[in-house]
Amino acid sequence: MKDRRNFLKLSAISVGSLGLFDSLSKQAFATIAPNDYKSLVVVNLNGGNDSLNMLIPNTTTEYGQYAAARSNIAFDRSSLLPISPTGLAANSYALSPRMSAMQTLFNDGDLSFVANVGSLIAPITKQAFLDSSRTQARPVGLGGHNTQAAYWQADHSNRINTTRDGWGGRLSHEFASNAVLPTNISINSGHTILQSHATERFYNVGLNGLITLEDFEVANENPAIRARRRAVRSLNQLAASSADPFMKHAGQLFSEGLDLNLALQTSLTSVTEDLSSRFPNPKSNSGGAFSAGLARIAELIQIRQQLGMKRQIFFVELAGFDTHSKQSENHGNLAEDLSIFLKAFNDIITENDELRNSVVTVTTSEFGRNLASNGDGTDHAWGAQHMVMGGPIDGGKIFGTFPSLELDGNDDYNGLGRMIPTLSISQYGATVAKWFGVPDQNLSNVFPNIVNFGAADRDLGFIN
Amino acid sequence: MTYQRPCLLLGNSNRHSYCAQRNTKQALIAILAFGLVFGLCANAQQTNVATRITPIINYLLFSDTSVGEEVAAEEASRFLVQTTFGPTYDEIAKLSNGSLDTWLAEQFSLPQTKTVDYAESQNWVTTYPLIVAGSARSSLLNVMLSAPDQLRQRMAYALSQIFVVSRDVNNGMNERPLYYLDYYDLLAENAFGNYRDLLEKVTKNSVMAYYLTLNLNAPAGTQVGPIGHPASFFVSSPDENYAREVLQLFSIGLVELNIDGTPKVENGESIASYTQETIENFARVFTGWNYQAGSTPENSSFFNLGIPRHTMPMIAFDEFHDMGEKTLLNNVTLPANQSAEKDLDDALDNIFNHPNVGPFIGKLLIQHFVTSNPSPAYVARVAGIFNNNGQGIRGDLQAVITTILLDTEARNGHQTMPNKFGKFKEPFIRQTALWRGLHARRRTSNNNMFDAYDTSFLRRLGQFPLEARSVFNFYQADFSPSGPLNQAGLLAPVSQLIDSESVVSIATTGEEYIQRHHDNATNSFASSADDLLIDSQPLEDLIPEDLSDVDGLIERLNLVFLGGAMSDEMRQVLREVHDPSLYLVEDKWRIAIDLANIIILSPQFMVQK
Repeated sequence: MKDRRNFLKLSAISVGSLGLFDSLSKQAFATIAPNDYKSLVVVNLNGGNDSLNMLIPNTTTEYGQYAAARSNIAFDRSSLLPISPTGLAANSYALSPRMSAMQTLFNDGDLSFVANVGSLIAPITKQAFLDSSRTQARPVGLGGHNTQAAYWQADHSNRINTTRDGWGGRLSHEFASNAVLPTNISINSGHTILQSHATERFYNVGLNGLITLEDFEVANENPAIRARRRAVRSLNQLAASSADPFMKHAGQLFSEGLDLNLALQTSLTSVTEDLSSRFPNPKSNSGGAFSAGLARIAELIQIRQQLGMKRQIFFVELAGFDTHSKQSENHGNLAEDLSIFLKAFNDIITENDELRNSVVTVTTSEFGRNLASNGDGTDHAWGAQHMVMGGPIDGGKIFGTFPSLELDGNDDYNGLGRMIPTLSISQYGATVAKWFGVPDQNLSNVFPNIVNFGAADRDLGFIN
Repeated sequence: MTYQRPCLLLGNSNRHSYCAQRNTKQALIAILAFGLVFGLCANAQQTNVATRITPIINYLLFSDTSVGEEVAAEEASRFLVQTTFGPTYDEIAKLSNGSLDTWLAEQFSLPQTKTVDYAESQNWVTTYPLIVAGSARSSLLNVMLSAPDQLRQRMAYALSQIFVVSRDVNNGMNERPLYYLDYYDLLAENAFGNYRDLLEKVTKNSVMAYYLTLNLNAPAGTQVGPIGHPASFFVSSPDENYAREVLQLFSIGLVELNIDGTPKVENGESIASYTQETIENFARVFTGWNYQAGSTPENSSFFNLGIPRHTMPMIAFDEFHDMGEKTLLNNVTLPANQSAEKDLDDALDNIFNHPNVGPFIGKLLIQHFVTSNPSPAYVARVAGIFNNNGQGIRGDLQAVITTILLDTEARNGHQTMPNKFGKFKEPFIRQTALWRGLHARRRTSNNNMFDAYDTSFLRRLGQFPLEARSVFNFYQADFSPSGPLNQAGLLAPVSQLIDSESVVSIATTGEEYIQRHHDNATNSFASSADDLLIDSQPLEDLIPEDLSDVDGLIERLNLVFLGGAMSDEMRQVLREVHDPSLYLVEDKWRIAIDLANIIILSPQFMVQK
């Protein structure tokens, strides 16, 4: 298969017949109606989010189990922000006191929780998991940051560390596009979720933002600088045609990056509002980078039509969730930033009628954390609660079954509150992929392990 | 092993030329060049100059006379890319006259240059342990740029990316940068020692303990500190952070390995090398340790509120150690009632003796120094030496690095497997190579070598020592990006730091980068805030007075920055970019810098072969 990168040779913003996808013409793409725009924003909570200190059961028995196991990192019950999920008793759950913005989102019907999601190859019971013969498949490297991040991003079968492709990359592959930008845009570099086997390209916008470029070679007044820029471009073109894959990769990245940068720079001049002003100052160390990323995503969504975008997948992350210690302070700040910034982003999107029902935001995180306190923090566990947000979301609900907080109970596999997931990333992601327009029979192209879950369980129903 | 003969003469575009082809005039120039090299080299031992030059003269005048295994200049440059923070012309000349073995032996014998000593010599450490972050960065950079013990420093830098601690703002000890220098010096001190000693020193190190929350770790059910004290806490289960990462990242990895680094397979599946239960047992081993807060261990307590002494190893408190039996790797059991010290010692032995350590650590080091995709046979040779250095000793890191660097794949891979061998240079190493290759020296004793421009540039590069984003380092060893590398089934870990935004950003913001570090009076880009000053004179000397011909300059840059591997097409681009009519004769420095700048920003410079 020819490499798509070679086809992109934009001198400025020349939207047109780029022929990007002729090499893929044999693939049956999902169809997209005119004016059908959908965008998925994946918010990764890097480090393993302690969702048990975000969404907390608010009934006497269950809160009691929570408080006993968590000791000094538990919230006082009186400080919690109660919520009343549809179909459950009033005030039966509550949010962290730092998440009042998320309480508003939930009450407004723009946010739901999905309970006890994790890396699963197939459903697994506690008995099967603990069975020493290990006949029931489970992901390798449970509890490892990189292995579980790879699993969440790839949903690969039971192989170790396939950092080759991700479900975002495969999802974009289901749709034909002749847009200027690749379907997949990452704010944070170095992740695999947006890659697909070999040919799918994605673009790192990066947190440095776009640089102000004149046309790289011709606009500068200094002839020596012009000559040098021509030389740098020539050397990159030489590299791009090299037989050495390292050289080729570097040369292609540059040539493509330069073209896309120029195209974006031109289009972004039409965004007149400073969207970053909609995000207040962060409380956590990494919150500023996260809000800048969300602002950039909102800008890119606003220029979707100029760029000819029909489907977009964005990846952005908030880092610092590996709270083995100083949990109360650090996780509290992260929870507040997440809550406020997600609401700010949702406000920007939903105040635009054209976008209100076109953008879905979902969280990912390599694993949840255990219920028991290690003193002033928590350790790596497995299943966790996740957040789904946006106009298309069936909001104000908790989907799935919240795990029992009884230590060594049915969900806890070893007495410290490490929850065996009852929903898989395959189901969570397939629900989104279906909304995106992937037909049922093609969901396994994107999430290979979805075949291990019953047909009725492949759409969790959190998108209307 | 066969080495090519030295060829330091300029203006010869044939990358495999041999010295026998030189004419007499070139030979005389070479003699003069060597004289200059050794006369000017600050680190050369003056007394040796005459004895070092004599055989060269003999060799050049009587080229039939063998003087032993000489090293081709291109190969010398390539070797120095692998082993130092960047080749200099002087070092290439020196190595060409010696042998790789001799060079390694000399490196092993050199005393360690310490970053902490440097910081103190500059009076940067005011009230111990206070030092500003910029000074800590400057100390690291100074040592990496100028220390004679380059291989030790490169090894320390590689080890700092395996035994990761970080000043990163998300979870670092940002307010105490000096401690990080101390940690880096610890890695350098043990760079050629035994892995087992290194593992123990790292495990007990207070900076590591801070980073991976090993201090104040206590058994389940322990109340630490008086109830009601704001810093007191109750432990439901011991902290597993260090227990997990020491296994996954510092020693054996996730799955059982063959000696050649490939995963063992059973019924089509890889085999996990440990379970959650193993981690919980190791977490119990690592209970009862904390920083020394008092002036002596005797007047220190476990729950302390004094100033921690992060430059000292942690101390053990048996009353906060889990005294139960523990089951470790390979079902080795530690009996109940062992002290914290004894448990830790036994547990590190248990890790050290796991058969994974050789292939796991060996392959990581190969990837740092030589190639991202070593053949299994290469990994097996290195792991074999880790397991037994030939004298029955396991874990000898000096033997390991020697094997890695002298292995036939390291020396010949660029020719025997040209489209698989090699790696991306780490962005920080590209930066140090630029400065070393252009003879950068410090202008002042300004305690911060980085002005805002440099800092911004470093951020775009995405890498500065001891500032990785997490314990998983700047990049993962098994990363393979979309595109030609992925299609070829090749790993390219460093490419995780290189994306379509950063390459463009670096190429544009880096345009005046070198120029900012040159003090020519007519240089409008010169930055007085920049503390590093490059010396372009050796390059200017290669440009004729009429400025017409830059071939000599191009070949010098080729040798120093590209290991002599410049293609004819690239050479042509560089020739064409030079327009003598744009320069005055006093602008030779500018010609030199302009061409150097293009090479530094080129993709060809990013790839190490």
